[in-house]
Amino acid sequence: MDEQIKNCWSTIGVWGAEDEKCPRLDDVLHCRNCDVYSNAGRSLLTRAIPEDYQDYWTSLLAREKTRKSHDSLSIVVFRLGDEWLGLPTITIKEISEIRPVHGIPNSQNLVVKGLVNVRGELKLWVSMGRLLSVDKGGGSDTFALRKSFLERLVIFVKDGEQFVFPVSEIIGTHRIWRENIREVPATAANSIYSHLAGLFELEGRNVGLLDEELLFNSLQRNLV
Amino acid sequence: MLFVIFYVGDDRYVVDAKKVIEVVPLVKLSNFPNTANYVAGLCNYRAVPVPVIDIRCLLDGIMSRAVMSTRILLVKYTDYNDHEHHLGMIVEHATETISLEIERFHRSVQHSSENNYVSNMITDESGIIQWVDVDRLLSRHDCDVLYGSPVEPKE
Repeated sequence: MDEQIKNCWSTIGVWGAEDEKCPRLDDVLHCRNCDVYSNAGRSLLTRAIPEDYQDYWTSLLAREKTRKSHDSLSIVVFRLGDEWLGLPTITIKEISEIRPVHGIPNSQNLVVKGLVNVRGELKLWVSMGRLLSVDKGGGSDTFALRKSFLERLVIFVKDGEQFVFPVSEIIGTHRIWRENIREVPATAANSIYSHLAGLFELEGRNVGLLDEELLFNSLQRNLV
Repeated sequence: MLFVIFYVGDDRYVVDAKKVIEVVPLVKLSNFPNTANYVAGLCNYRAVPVPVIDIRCLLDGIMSRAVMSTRILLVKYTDYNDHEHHLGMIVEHATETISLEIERFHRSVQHSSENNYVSNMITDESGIIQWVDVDRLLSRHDCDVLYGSPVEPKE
């Protein structure tokens, strides 16, 4: 079982530097379609078990599992001005580039900015900054520099209704263990805190997890 | 339905993936004295001793080879008293899962003995796949040896 695997794919194969190529490549086009390559891969599974590998797994299996809960939540994390916020991924339909907003004439509404055309559908453009009292236009200097080309539109969907809001930057989608989501301090009276379901840490920063129900209700109230 | 597929010689067998807790490499086992020859030993699984049986040895009388693709399936085993235990199954060439339609299984002709653990089979273009029923793997006697006799009810 321990015979040396002849690694023809890195000499005369597609990963090889030699000018003379394997004649089989004319038929199979790529080494991964060739049975020499796949048999070599399979032979890795039929080799003897290395001693240290077996020792490692024996001790690993003997150890009790430390993580008790497997309950996690997938969260899209974005930046709004200086605030890092998150929404459950299932509530986000799409993230797209910034599009022009069409204002609604004679509207005094500060939260609803207007309508935006997303794939031929008109959707409500709302300002999260206004709703949560976050100074989105501001932000520290480093953020201001990167401002324009990092901005994205987030399409939030809840109970079939869609709202579009711009964010300063999309940080990414992260899976967070529920046990790592802390409660919001009860003393925090700020508008932003009243919309949070919890707080969690990501890359050394505090991220506020927005409560989708509260956010939705708040947006609905602002429609009137 | 999803199954974990493995080989005994050239023959293919499957176990219900729902019964499998995890698949681990062939770890070092402690000896389990006075047990049947197909009992490979005891495995320290999360600080709990779990009996491990060698499926090739049970079916064919030959010990499984100690190679990378030979793995231990840690399964949920329900004994004849409906008690659930952990059981380790050493199987060869356990590298893939397979999706099979449960309606296409045929009942096996052999259903006389107590431990007819291979009771259903299915055919495909490359032959027959036999379904190993984990809960029937051990005879009553062997189950009592491995997991201790059930507590006798008081008079």
